[in-house]
Amino acid sequence: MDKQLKNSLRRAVEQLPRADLQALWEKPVEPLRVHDAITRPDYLPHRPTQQLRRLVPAFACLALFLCGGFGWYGQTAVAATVIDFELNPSIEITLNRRETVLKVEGLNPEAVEVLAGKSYRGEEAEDVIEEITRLLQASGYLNESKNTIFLSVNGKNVEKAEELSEELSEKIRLLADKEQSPTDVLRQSGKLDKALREQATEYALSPGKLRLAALLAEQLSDYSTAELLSFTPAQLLALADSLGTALPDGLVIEQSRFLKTEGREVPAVTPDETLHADEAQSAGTTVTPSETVTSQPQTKPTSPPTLPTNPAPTPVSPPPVTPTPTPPVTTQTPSSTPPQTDDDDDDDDDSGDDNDDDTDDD
Amino acid sequence: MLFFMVLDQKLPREHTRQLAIDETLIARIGQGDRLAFEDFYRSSERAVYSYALSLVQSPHDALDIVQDTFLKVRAAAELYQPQGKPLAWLFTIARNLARNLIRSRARNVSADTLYLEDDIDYSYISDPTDRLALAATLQLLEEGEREIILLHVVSGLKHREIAADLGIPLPTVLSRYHRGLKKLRKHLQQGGVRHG
Repeated sequence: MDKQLKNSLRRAVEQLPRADLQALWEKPVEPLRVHDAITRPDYLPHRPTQQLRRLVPAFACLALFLCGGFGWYGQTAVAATVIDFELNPSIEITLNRRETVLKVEGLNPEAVEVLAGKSYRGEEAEDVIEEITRLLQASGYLNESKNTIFLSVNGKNVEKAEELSEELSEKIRLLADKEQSPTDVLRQSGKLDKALREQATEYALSPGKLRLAALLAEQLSDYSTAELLSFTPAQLLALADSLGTALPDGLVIEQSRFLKTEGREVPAVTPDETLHADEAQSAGTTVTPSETVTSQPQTKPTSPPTLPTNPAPTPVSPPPVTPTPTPPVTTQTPSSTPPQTDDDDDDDDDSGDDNDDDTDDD
Repeated sequence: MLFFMVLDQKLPREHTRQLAIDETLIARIGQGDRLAFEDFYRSSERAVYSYALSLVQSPHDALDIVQDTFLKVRAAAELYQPQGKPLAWLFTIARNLARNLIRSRARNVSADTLYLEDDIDYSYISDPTDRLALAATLQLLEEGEREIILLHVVSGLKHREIAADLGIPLPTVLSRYHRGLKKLRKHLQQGGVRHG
């Protein structure tokens, strides 16, 4: 809708009368010897009284800041929400309480490359998600084959986090559908947990994925948290899908409306970090729902990390990863969790504006 | 000022792309170079008009401001010292002229008069949806929001350029821009106008 609104504005102003250039040139003007009050540029010094008058609001602002500035600081400079956006590039977006961006960080080399030279500070979360989705499309990470994004929103206010995750998921899927790169979203929302964040930082993981892996490991006895951390979003979605009504609270599967979703295909569950599930499909290793899939164990790390097994603040060490084959996972189709629908037709045309490319100036 | 109005003057579409205003033209204007003035006008007129419109909220008054701005440029061109931001100077002139105009006419624009799309100022706009969009922009938004939305949408200035030329921080520009768009979107949706 924004694009149409902007086009309307542009068209409207275009049709308004304009000055006659010739008449402007031919009208006699008296050259000024010194700048008058109208033409004096801002970079020229003003008279002392004017300078003093200019300082009054500055002092007033300083007083206001000293009196109530800390409240403002808390609103604008402190992280209140963290968004994890994972396709294969894994991106973390930190927001303040006003839901404007404090920083956007790539958590793996692919994300760092995609985000190179970009700055989103001060922008709104929805616009940044839209921009990132477009970048991923342009970079080929989102393409015509079925894509899966893991979106996690964790905030100090859980309700707001849930609302935001719903809005962002809708935006991503609409944009992706419009560009014919159908995308399912596995989204999660929850409380921003300091301990979880610290652990995630220590192990260079996103807090959202850490929480998701712990949640799924609780439900699926066949997998440990450490194993699940190496799964791609598509693989995680498939596992979550298999839980049916046992899907943990705060976890939602939202499907692209672009494709029919009856008889969902399950990608080969191979926790290979370099193999995206969609690549597996195109490589001819897709399995039909009636077949079982077997996960290959990850190579045992030299020092298994201590990871939480549940989303509670106190971390608990899981058992270390051992190279033993794990039992097969039988998938169920179709998903018993109905995708959320959104009947707001006005969002269907919200495709952003190609002119909004300000953020790459620096 | 009616003789200055030209209804069907076709200007090139540079205003929809990134503006590149050659600051050296100003010195040449001071020496009486007509072509320099024309180039300067063509490259900056949309931005000045958008800015003036955001200040005075009236197409007719905005046109007066634009004309007076460029006349002032001709008068003061020899005094101008290059600073790398010629548009900032134009905006300063336009802003000072607008303030004088508003003070002298003491015009109050009421948010109740949302039917301004029927005003004669808007009669040049053929599409009622476009009229409504412009009227909403001029009536509903705060001055800061109007400035940025019109400068960005109409003249094609990037947010970063607007921040530099108006002397305000980029996050403020972004925040006002998005806030203004949200207000417009909400108003137009409630008004039952569907775009697309």
